[in-house]
Amino acid sequence: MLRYQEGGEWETTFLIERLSPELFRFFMAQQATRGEANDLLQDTWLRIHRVRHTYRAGAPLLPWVFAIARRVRIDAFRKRSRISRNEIVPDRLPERAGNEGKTGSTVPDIYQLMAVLPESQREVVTLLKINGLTLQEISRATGLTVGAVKQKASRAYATLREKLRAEGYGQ
Amino acid sequence: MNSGERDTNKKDQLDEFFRNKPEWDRASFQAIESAIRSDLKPVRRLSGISLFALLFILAALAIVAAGACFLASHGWNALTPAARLSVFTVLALSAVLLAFALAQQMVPGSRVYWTTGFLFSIVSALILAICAAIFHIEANPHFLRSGLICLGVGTSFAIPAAILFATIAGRGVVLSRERAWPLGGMLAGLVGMTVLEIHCPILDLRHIAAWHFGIPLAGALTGYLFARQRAPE
Repeated sequence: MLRYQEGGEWETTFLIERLSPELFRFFMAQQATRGEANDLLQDTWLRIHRVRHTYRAGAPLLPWVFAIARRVRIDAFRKRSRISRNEIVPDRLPERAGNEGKTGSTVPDIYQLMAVLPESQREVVTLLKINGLTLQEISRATGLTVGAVKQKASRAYATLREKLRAEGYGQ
Repeated sequence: MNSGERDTNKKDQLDEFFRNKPEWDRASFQAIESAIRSDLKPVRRLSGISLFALLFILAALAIVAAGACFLASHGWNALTPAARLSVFTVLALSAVLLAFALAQQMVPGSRVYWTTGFLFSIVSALILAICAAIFHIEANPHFLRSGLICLGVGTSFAIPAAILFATIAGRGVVLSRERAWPLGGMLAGLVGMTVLEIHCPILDLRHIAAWHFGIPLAGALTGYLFARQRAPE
């Protein structure tokens, strides 16, 4: 990241390759379509590039990156909400990608199950279980206290277990 | 099955669920990389949060000093030395807390110590507690008139303070306007309140609680309302 701030080309490419999958998964788990997730990913990288001077040496990178990604997603959602008030919604919305290629899997689709969670809980669980951040890192990325992060995660797990049980998985 | 086994089964169930992660579509990779590499130049890294907190405090002190110079110090003269020490220590402490919290909002991913609401509660409780301890209810026949004058004076110093803070904060990137702008508004209002404590000779508790302390509260509320109204970029 420091070399990226200094204009290093190879380091920039490495950073994009390394972080993009995690960012993409984050957006997909927040109920974005593939197209939306790609757009959000591009917007996030443009914003990361614009504000790269704010990353401080020695600070954890993931909270910094995901704090920016969160904001991009929130801003896009609000903008879309304003625009959609004046648009006609099609009867058939774009399909969200499921776990293609995992035929025969007994595990339910990650998006469908995460959809039952409130937005803030879904975000915490995504960062925790999909992106692998620690509680402290999530606290930094979201602006919540560590206690609040733990509480949201705990409630989300309870909801997801209940949903899995209701759908007959893992009995 | 005992509860330990049940808990393990629950954990395995969820972990298996999360193992099926969505796959990244690399189609956008080329576009991202070429957009960034076309504009790749070294940048000057942001200074530490402590430095920006100090800048906020210095800016606040500059405005307060200007107020002390331009306005008469009737309020300062009306207070006992012990009262001066108590009141201005609490105002300074509150300003430091708010300045640090505002500086943290300039850097994405900063450590979270307190929520904004908790910080506002602490600052408000500190100020109201010291006001209740130092000041008393006194006769004030022109409550509304004197209050509006103080409101005008305090606000006229809070506004330039807010502009200065916004200029300093512009060096970083404020992701959460809903958190940062109320913090900046309250800090600016605190500057106005400090100027009033130096200038205003009225020691009526109701006057101070409503009109002097009303300025930081109004600043926080104004910041919040503006943040909610502002469209995302």
